[in-house]
Amino acid sequence: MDLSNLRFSRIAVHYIPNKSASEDADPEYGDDLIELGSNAQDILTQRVTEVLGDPSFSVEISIIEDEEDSTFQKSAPLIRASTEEFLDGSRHIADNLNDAQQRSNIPASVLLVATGKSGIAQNNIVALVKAETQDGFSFSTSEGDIRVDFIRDLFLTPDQKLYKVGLFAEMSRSSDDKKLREKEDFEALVYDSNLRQRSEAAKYFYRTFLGCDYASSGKQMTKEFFEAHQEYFDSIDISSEERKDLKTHLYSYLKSKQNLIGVAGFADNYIGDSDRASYLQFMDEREIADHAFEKDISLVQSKLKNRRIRFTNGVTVRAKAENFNEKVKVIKEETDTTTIRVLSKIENQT
Amino acid sequence: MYEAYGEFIVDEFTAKMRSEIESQDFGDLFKVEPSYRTKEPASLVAKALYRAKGYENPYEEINDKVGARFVVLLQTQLEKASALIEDHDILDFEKSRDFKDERHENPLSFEYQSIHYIVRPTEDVKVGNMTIPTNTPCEIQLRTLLQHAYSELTHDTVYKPRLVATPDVQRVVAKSMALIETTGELFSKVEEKLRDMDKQYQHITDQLTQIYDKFSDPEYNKRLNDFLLSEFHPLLEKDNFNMQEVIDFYESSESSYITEYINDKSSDSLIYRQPAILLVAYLVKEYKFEAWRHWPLPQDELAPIYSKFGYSLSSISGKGTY
Repeated sequence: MDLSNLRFSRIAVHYIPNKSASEDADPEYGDDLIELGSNAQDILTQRVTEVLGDPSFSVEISIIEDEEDSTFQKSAPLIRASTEEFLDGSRHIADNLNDAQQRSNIPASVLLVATGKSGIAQNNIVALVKAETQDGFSFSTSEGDIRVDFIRDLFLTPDQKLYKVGLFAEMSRSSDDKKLREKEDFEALVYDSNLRQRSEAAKYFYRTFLGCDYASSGKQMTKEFFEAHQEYFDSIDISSEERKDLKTHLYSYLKSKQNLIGVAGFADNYIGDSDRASYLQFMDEREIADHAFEKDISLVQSKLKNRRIRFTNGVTVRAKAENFNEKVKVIKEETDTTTIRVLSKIENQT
Repeated sequence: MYEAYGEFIVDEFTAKMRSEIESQDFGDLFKVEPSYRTKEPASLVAKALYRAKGYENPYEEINDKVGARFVVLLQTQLEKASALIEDHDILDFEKSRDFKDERHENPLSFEYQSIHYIVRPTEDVKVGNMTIPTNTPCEIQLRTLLQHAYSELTHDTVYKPRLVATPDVQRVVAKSMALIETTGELFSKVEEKLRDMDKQYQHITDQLTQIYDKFSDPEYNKRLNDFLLSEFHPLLEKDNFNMQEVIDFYESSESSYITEYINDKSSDSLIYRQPAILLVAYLVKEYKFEAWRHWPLPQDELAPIYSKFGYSLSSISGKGTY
């Protein structure tokens, strides 16, 4: 999704309480649109592009729920709504979020509902930002005096753990006169830091609230992801032992319980600072997704089973992929000889 | 009287040289504060009587009863300083030493090098309530910093005293002079390279200014602008970088939101009033994975540009907060 030149034109804000005191606490609704100065607009735009931009650990999702009360059907009409309709529609969305976050361990939060445009094509978008609040201090100086003030309920600081974003972008408009919009007219993206590890915890936001699920193209993408990484590791100038380590990381990344994968996540975990640019560049050139996606290893299953080190004279060392790194070590490499250590006894020879 | 004369010479040329000789890449023009000294009577007597120079009429011939010294960094600055002395309105000059001539005459020897002038006013000069009579001599020494260093090392040991230093001391000293001369040449090459780079930056800046002029007035600050250009220099060296593409990008309608944004920000940020910001934005677009590394200021000042292009700077740099 092209998020260049992203700008918001209308913003409403509502407050979603925590459910520990009362299960049926209602949201507090904002009565008017929020006017943001240009600096504040910049910050809001940045918060959104930082988590949804290119590349990022946001996830492309497909809209599943499209009945009348769904968040999608409440969001889409906001694009062309009057101010009154916009405020009213955004309150319904706040209700949806309030209903979705029933667990009492979910902190109170602020919901921003915003419409705007994005991309070279300036597609209409609806952004739903749920932000938890923090307390903090503000600092100012005037005429040499330092002043510190306590601030309650600060939100949308750069801390990406503390906000989630759902975005619907209108790519086409096939059903002008119908009341409900076609979900095929829209693309959707979500960011939630929980997607990185604990996707169950994220479910209430992308599934229950947004009514979406991961776009289902994981099989082919996982295969391409695997192959591009193999190629990248083979292309860079490192020792065989380092290469073996990187490939081990790739195996464990793909075999881990985590169901979303992506270059931003892999880079954070396994790529050093100095190689990050060339890694991201390589993946970009190979057109590996900018976003995270649902892993499906069925096409690379057999490749993940065994690992191999093949020598130019025909000798191959082969073993089950699990703990390959602990079973075999490349000790020394010279022009014509390689010393490897197998951490085991010889069982038999044929 | 000599005190006043020395002060006059130092003030006169310090101001002239500072205003006429360019030195901005290398800090202050003078690497040692310009100064003068007058000869103590005792030293005069010693010089007249004991040194092997063979003065016929010592007191008349000693021309450095008052002397001034100017020390600059580079050979080219030295030449400009020479010209200023030679062109002075009311001072006649006579070159008493010129290391270039000496090199020509003694190509195999590496010795004390600097330019010495004897200047004399062609009319009476009033300094405060003193009058410097016509024809009063003053010695002016011009040196590069390297020549000065050499001179400081050797002046009281090798050149000045009557005792001739031993051959191995002279040998080592000659070696260091040879090295200083070589170093001086290398310094000039550095200067030349910097000047070439300056020309290149100027050319790029001119092109960027033309783009900037179309939507707003830049407030060009050479120091800041060149600072940005030099930090991003490695990207300009890339094979696929082409200044024409920068111009094409800004001529296309695709870039209008970027120039609009720069225009917006320019009211409260001097960085955004530099023509170089246009190049920075283009480099972010073309080389997003690398460009942020070259940004010399806090990352949050670059983040809005990444954001404008729809890029996640925190994911790219790995320095995000999540």
